[in-house]
Amino acid sequence: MACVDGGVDAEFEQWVHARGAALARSAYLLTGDVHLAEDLVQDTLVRVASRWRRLDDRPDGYARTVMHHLAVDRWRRRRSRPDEVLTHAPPEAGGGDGADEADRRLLLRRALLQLTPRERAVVSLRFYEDLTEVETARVLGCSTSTVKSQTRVALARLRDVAPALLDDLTDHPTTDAGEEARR
Amino acid sequence: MSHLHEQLDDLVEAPSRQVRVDPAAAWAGGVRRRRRRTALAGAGATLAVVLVVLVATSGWLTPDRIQPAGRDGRPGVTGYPDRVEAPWWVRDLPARPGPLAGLVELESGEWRGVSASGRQWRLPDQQDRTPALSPDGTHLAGFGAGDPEDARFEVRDLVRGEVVGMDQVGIGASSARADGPSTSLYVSPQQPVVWSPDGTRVAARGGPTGAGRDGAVLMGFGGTATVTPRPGRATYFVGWVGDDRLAWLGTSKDPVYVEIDLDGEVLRRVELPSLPDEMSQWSGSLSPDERFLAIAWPRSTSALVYDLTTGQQSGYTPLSPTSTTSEVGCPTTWVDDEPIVPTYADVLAGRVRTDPRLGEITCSIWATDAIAAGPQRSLTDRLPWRWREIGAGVLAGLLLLAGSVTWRIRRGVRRRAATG
Repeated sequence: MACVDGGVDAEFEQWVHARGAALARSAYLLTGDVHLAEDLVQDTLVRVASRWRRLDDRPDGYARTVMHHLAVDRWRRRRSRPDEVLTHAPPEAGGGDGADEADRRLLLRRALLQLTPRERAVVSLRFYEDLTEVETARVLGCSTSTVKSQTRVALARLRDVAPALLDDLTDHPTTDAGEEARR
Repeated sequence: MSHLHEQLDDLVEAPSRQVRVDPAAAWAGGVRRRRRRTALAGAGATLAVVLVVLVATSGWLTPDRIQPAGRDGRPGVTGYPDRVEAPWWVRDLPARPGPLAGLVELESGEWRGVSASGRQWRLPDQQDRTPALSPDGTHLAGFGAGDPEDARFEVRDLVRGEVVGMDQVGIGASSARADGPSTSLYVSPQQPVVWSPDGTRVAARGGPTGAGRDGAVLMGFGGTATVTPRPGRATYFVGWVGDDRLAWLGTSKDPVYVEIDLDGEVLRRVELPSLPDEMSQWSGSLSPDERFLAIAWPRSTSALVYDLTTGQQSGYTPLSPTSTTSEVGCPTTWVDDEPIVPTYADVLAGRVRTDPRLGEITCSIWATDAIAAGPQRSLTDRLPWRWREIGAGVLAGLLLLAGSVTWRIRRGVRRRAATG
């Protein structure tokens, strides 16, 4: 096992450089905050590093599983959920149809923050990582039916909060059958 | 690629660039985490090993189980322990402890059953009565606990858990009751109870309650009890000859050894030259091959041995210089041709080492098959008597050390986090 300065495994470092950006994007999606995302990525990397020699060529999957579990568990451990502004009224989307990109991102972020961390994890895996329901269930350690129901609830809440952004959203972006066909 | 995917990708693209990733710190954290996991696993394994050893060697929480089959396929005892420890806890004798190797009496008067491996159970309060163990260690005979008037002789099957009570056999105390005796037979509680060699019956000095000629009361597993008259006055019951004869020792001015059948008919007489002046009912003991008769007496330093084929004294069996013959009721144990007279100093003449914390063993009774099978070496044979306390101390020390190291490491991490 090759090591560089400071005793860091060279292969681990290469893997971090290759996958760090993707992990950071997922972490931000799961937390909605740069600092929390930084902590989540770092904690994930620590877990990956502690098992690096046993992961062989499967660090990506392990990192994804660890990160989503940590994201859910962190919320469970907190005495209260992060400060969020929850209202019945959906946030305004800037100037309506002519809203700029920044407003759209802000609206989507606030909508995501109103989901539970588990629902957010399901949205991340299904709609950002493009995993099938079966794969999502395997990552989260739950049943496929749970993934389906969580997805349904999450999308309903997103539509409720940001209808203008998500009107054309389908519940099944990547079905298992579709995944098979894609392969 | 869904529409939502594009929007999510757009959402995270810019902020995620601000997320700093530090592979060196992650690797260092991973190494610490791996070490911590290894240390925890090691501590857990050590704790598990210590607990397993504790449980295995003390018999604590071990379910009652039957010992391996003995000779002739019968469940029997497989030997006797070479050392008897002072465990932290001693349970009452359960219904099915399996065959016992022996019975020991502590200074306090408490009797304990001892298995071949040295495991111990507390016997019910014997109230100065001496129990008896069958030759294969599977049956225990004696009086149950309770008031003298209500005490009944009973035989406990230590393998099957059955108890056969002899409702007609008491200790004679009931004859003093105003409403008359409640038992038809009595067995003197201060007399030796001897098992037949085949282990199917026990005999003890006794007779009909109230009136009638006394002798030996023979009791079987079926709850039957009969009396075989003794061959004369001033005779002590010394044991079985085969399974159908009883041996008695006449201690009058013309000492004699007498064998009778179960109907009381004299079948053999052997004149003996002399007997010690001070004898008790525990003095005489017949060797397993029925050739020798050993005579011990209180506070003696040796046992007199007669060869019954010649009627002559065949020698003295000297006891160790520091030994004192037991003054309490306790039978002699034979190891091959050597009579082992119970003494306060040694158990089985030093063959069984006892934890000093048990105090003096005032009496020990051993199953014939256990003696024949020989000593069983204990797992803790080479350890000091206080190995449990030492082990617990070492374990506590290791846990304290681990806790201290963990606390110092965490304190250091917190300090570094606070300063940097």
